[in-house]
Amino acid sequence: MSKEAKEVANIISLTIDGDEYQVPQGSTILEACRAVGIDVPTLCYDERLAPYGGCRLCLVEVEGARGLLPACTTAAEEGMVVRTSTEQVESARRTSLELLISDHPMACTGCSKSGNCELQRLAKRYGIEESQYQGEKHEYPVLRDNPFIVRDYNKCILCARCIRICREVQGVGVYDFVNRGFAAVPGTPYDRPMTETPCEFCGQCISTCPTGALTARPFEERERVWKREMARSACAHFGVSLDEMMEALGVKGWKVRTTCPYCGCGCQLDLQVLDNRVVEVTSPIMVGPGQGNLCVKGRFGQDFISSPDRLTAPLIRKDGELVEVSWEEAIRFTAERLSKIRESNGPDSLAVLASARITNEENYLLQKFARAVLGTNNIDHCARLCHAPSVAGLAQTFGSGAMTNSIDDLEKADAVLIIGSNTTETHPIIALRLKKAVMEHDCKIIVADARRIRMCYFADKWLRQRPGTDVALINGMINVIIEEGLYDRDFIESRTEGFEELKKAVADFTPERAAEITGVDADLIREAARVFARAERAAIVYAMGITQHTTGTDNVISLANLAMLTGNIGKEGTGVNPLRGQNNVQGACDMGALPNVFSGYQSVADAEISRKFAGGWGVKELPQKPGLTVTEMMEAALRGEVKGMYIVGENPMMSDPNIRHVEEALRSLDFLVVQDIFLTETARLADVVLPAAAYAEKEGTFTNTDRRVQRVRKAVEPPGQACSDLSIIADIAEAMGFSMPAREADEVFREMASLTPSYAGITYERLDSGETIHWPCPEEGHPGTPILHVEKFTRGKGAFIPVEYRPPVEEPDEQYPLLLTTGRILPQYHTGTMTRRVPGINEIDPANRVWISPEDAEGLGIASGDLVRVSTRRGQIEAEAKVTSKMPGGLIFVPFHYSESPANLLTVDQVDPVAKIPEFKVAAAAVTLMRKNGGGDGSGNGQGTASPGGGE
Amino acid sequence: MKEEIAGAVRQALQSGRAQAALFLADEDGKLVPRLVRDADDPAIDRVYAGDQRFPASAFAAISLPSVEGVLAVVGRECDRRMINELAKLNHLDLERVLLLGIPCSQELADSCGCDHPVPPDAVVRSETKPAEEKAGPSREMGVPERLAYWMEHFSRCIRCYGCRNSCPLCVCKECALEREELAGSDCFPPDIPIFHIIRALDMADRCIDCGMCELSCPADIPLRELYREVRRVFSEHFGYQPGVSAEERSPLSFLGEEAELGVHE
Repeated sequence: MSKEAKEVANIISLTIDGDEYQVPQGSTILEACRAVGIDVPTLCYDERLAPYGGCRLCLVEVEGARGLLPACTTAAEEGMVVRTSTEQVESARRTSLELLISDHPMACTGCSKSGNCELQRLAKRYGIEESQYQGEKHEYPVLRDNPFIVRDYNKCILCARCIRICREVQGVGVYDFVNRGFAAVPGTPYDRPMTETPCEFCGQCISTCPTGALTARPFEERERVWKREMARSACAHFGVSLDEMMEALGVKGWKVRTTCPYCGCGCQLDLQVLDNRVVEVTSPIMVGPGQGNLCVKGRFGQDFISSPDRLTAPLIRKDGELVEVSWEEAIRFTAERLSKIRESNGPDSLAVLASARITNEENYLLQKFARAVLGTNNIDHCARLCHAPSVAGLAQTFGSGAMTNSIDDLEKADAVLIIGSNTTETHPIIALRLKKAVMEHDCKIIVADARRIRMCYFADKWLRQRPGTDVALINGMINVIIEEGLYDRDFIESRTEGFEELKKAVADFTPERAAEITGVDADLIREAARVFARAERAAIVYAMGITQHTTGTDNVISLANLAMLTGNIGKEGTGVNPLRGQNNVQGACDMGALPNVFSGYQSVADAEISRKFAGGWGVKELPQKPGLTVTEMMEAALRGEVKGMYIVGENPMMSDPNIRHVEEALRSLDFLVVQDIFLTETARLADVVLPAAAYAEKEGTFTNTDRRVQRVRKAVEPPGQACSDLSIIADIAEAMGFSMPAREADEVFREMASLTPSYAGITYERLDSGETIHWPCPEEGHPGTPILHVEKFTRGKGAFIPVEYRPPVEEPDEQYPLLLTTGRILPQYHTGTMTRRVPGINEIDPANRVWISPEDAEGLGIASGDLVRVSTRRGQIEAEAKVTSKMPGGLIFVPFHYSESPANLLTVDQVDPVAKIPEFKVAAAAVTLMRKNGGGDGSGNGQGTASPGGGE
Repeated sequence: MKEEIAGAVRQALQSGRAQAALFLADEDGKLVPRLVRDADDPAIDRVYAGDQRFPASAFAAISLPSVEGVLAVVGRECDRRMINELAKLNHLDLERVLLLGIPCSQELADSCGCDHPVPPDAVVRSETKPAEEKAGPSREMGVPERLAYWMEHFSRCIRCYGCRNSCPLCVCKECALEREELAGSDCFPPDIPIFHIIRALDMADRCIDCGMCELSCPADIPLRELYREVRRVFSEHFGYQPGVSAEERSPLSFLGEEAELGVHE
């Protein structure tokens, strides 16, 4: 390449070990070596971290330089001549290793890191078994002060990777070096146990530690896995890695790559399996949305797979009790009852609840079952309770209801408005990207949340609007942007319509008016608007705080307005980004598990589309009248219009609002069949319970929040007689006289893709080859679409839709003076079905806690740890109080994960008129003290202000 | 010897007696275990015939679930005994394991002090003779002296679990050594002599004297000597030697039945 061409392309050339190479400018020598396949040993290096230069193993010879240079921190320069392995270099490396080993217990055969230890590998490579440097060795106690991380600092080589990853990647900073010289060692503040630090138990520290200093607890403690220990011992003996050993021994299915079953981030997991048990969970570095990072649920929350509570046999209620029956009987009975109800009362007397947790293939088959076999469009799922407004609102404004940008490009934003999303708790991996944007290039974050959530520590501006006043806040910001001429004229002119109407509508929504409604200072609204509008690239990130309102659709529309106003659509680091909560809620929507659309959001009411699907499915015709939503189904059940329900992988008895009402509705059904992996609160009411396979026990795909279709792979066999949802649905269909021959996930996927334009180009071959594909992907050669609306919106031009502010349906009054808002916390997941069966998580977060401000607590005579009752017009629960200054006066927060004190006994069930989503986020409540805590520490929480992992 | 072993492996696969074979291979001076499923797999040419060893039973137990049918395993007499014991503990299905027995060299037998260096039906002819037992100094000591001798050795223990992790018969799901009430699970150095007594008693009816424990111990504790002595006492009273028979169960494994406590001739 010519010099000029190289300069333009930012390529430099250098010589390494006698050969010339071209590498990108800005690479370090280490990166250059790695890029061209030259192995330079390191110990303190991790791709996720800034180079440290601590271990001195990567020293290389650079011609003309004075002394050896560390490759990881030295920039590669044009014309450099590097030698990575001279006598001097190897001698220096050897000395460094011997110094490290001189204070390291070389007991590899007993160490749980054997086979994965970077120090072991290097010691074997250099043939060092014992150090020639004799001297004092440390004798630290092994620290096991929490259920997840074991710290054995005797094995620590002081590479600082744990310190750096906790600080640079996680943004928490639980560790640092304490003491100096020989006594230097990583530690926590004041040597407190991990549970008394802000540690989130993400385990990133474990994932980066090169030795056995930091290891994960869960798998070996409850049940020793001797085969793995023996294999590790063999690794020490033979000097190979654990993966190499397993391969050499021909072990099949040792490491299975799949997608995390928890939230919508869609992190990639490598499940290590021995004897049909998951024994370890790691995440491949620099792969997928997580890039090798996980949260406590993904990394440590997989115990539920082998929980003894798993459903292992079909159950039928006989004489009031659920008894075990054969699959044959269960399927036959279910088919008979469903057919009977359909015959006597018509197809629309049946309803199906699909699942945001099961695979795309299974959801596709379920909506096919509802429509082609039952003959009804009464199919919906819990997206109704979370992002239905996103689908409805963005479909109106943009033409497409999904996250517009990808998790990867969020990092590139110059400003981010985080509104109604406690991102570090609900989407920790996405929060990492946002924190990275702040730490790396000073991205300006605007947090709009009434509580002081963790993202506030990274924020440039914090708007504390009262829950339910988001339209007022956004309209106020829009007013400022228009008023001060900060809007993107070109974008508005060429890409949108309806600007004039919007301008008129917000003309009198001044910051002062917004301040009155929201409680946020008018000048602060101005500043936030300016920061957002002035940024080159500004993104909006939102979640339930925006959607779970009776004005949810309006809230979303106003965000879309804001984004279009400032031209922040269709480029990197911008967009309107609804963070979908569940591992496959996006997929469930995409697959048409919705009452008004088939897969790919193709309308059931459209005659041509209906004909296409009827043809594809081999039936004469399909119902064209849109069906009932989840919230409507419950009402219809109470009225006697819906008589039978088939619920798969959903737990409305915990997740729907006003669960007393839900219980009445479900009990009033003639027939209820529930298909799940555990006997949930909903399953307990069922007439038939069908045991399903968990995510680790089947093949398929999930679609995460940024429209990425990712593979789910089978790692273990399901317990007992549990079966994949795919085969259960197909069996019931066949028993009802409808042939469903496609039983393999890839067959079903192919059928679905042939009928779904946005998925048409995606195949298992492409996914299995490691390709990252965001839909829409209309044909096989298409690379997928990470960013939507680049050239034009899905509907052509973006539509500004003015929205009026409407207050929440139930506001505090004299009888119920506090505002109750509900939500989630990091260690638990949704209705707790999975996470409350993980012993470690129960240890750090044993029970529900009501968050209350110090001023309100004082007035009620409440202190942290006291038992309090929270009551609303719908019901009451009792839980421990958590008095915290994170809460503003007048607001209380209750997470909804706990079956013994379910927050949804309290919530209102009025819904948004368009999206039909309930107002989970606002209700009027009263709090009373039930019993003072004995003064002791019975809950296991630390005293003082530092709170353990459960929710910040 | 290498040719004979390779030949036996090929023969087992070709004849259909086994569907896979497991052996140590010498790949350019580096030793690794290898599982092959084809008689003409080139790895068989590199089968290792030297003195280095590692419990073949452990490899067999790890590989077996991924094999359909019978797994042929190249192993020594101690490997044969390990396999018998693992089978009795229900960790291996003996019907699915075919041992291709190989003898130990005289040097190895002598250094191990082993009286059974050649397995029955070995696939290789050998001249190796049983070696002199290496009793160790503790056998001649009186009780107080013996206690002092062992306590001195145990004092160097760093609780690395190397002995347990490399023992082919340490397969318990719940390990007594990790129980707070038994061996004090968190303390370092370990509570002695209880830590080693627990192991020694467990070894009474299981240890087949492969010596991996002593090989692994970074503190050079003469574990083999300890377990030998315990086994000697045990076998004097019950006449039971671990691993020799595939059918005879350990007297300690009879639950609810009576076992005779007496001296056997």
